[in-house]
Amino acid sequence: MTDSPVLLRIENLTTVFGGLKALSEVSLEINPGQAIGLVGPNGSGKTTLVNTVCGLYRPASGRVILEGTDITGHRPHSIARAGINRTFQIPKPFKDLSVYENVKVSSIHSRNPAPIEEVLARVNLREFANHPISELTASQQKRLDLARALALEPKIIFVDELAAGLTPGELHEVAEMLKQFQAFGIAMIVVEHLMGFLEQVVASVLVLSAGRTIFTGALRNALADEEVKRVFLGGESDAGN
Amino acid sequence: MPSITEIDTIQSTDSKMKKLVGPAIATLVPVIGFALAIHVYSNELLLTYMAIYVALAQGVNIMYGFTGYLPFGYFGFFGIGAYVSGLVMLDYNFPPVLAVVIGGVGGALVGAILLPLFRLRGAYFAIGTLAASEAIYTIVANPSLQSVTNGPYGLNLANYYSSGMAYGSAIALVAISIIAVSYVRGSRFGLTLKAIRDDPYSASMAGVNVPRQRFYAWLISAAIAGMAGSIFGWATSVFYPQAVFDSSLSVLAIVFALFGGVGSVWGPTIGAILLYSVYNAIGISNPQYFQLIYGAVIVLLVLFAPRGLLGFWNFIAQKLSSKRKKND
Ligand SMILES: Nc1ncnc2c1ncn2[C@@H]1O[C@H](COP(=O)(O)OP(=O)(O)OP(=O)(O)O)[C@@H](O)[C@H]1O
Ligand SMILES: [Mg+2]
Repeated sequence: MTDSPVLLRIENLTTVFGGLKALSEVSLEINPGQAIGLVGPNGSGKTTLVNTVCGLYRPASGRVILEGTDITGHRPHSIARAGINRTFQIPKPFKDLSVYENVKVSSIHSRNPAPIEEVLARVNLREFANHPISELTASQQKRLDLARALALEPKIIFVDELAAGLTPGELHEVAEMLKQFQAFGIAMIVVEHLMGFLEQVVASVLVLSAGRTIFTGALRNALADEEVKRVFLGGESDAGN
Repeated sequence: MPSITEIDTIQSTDSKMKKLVGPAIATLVPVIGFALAIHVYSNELLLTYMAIYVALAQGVNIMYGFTGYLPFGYFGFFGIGAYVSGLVMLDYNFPPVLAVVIGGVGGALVGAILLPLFRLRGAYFAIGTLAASEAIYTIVANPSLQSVTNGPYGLNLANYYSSGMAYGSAIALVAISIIAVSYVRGSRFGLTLKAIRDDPYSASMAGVNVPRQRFYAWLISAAIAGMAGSIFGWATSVFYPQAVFDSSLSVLAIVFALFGGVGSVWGPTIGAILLYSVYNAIGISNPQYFQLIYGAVIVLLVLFAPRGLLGFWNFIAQKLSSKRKKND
């Protein structure tokens, strides 16, 4: 067990909001350069998983272990500096700063900052460096989230619904981008509703329903799985189980 | 189209110049203005107070303009400064200028003690600092502490009175506060604070230790208020505790800063000078109405003109330049 090269291990993570178990005993392991899809109907706990691992919420139980170190309940900035980062379902740029300055903030507080221009080039935002945020499209703002994450030289990035609302051309661009990060050895957990996009980026998935894991394995098999089909076709009717 | 490296080098030489020239002008103009004003207008104490308000408004600027936390209890640091500096003069015979610096340290120390208030947000923070400062006042003015603070009877610094020196110190504090704001604005620290103001959680995922960075801003701001209170006490010479622990000090400093425009270097200076002049021209006869009016002004400014006069000015300038662009 000690010789396994697991990058991030999530063990029985449970997050509770009031009486609601938004996340229930979810476990997951991921290695460097690996990409895993995180799917499930609306409200199934995908973003909650990201938020809990990234230190926004404290889990009710369970552990998060990065390269053998227990980082459960650590504060967000130390989690970010340790190498875990994320994008936001609704992008959260620093709206009073330029594109360049947005990335510079990460770079200032990074343990080993990546060059800002290189980072912008990797997400195709280089020519927007001196633009204000208000001039960016939603897709570009999401890529700026990615750039801010990359400036901290992350080992793993949680990508929360990058594809929603993109044109086919943009989808292709973003898929290529994510594949390239993998090639650099960055692990990724990709939250996504668009299966067509997801199959370009990941081979395996974890399916959540009402906060519980109902499937882990190859994406192909997931699409054939009876329970997964029922959850997706049945909409939110599973919410109470 | 120039490549990004070109843009960067152009900007960096350009902005290095600007980085020094802009703040130098923003510092020197008010400093020279105050130095000359005394030859035109002979009420030195009033000018001293005006300079103190410029510094206080700049202190509020660092706090609210760069972190979004509105410190209604700002007067607590002011009062502590007045007492700490006054007591080291009286009890240890410290020279007044050194006492002023120690008053600033006293303000910062109290700021450090009040750090847990940062767990509060928005209005709760504003009210929390207010309550904390009232508590400090109650302790300082308590008769049972009379042997230490002279309790409700205040301090008498008449032996150290030197109106010229006090005015000079107030002008120096104006310079210090403006330089501090310029530094915060132009530095990585300022960039970090702006990021936090925009989105604290995003900032933390960018690796920013949010509480610690806010704390630094809070300390600078508290030290400025502590020094301002020290000079106020020294210039006023004899004061009761309620004169230096006065919540209207916070209200005025906040109004001045907001009116001029927080987040900028010039805004609070202009706001404090303009409004304090108006306040003294009209307000002396019936100050209680002014409290009411200023209260209403804070609400209106926060709601409708969060960037103050300067924000309004920038808005107009932007409109004009975009019109020019279109015509090109
Ligand atoms: N901060 C919060 N406070 C209370 N409840 C929350 C909070 N965040 C999420 N929830 C609830 O937790 C459940 C899971 O929400 P979550 O946002 O994780 O779903 P999701 O899988 O990301 O959905 P979507 O596909 O719509 O983004 C939902 O019932 C949601 O209402
Ligand atoms: Mg979500």
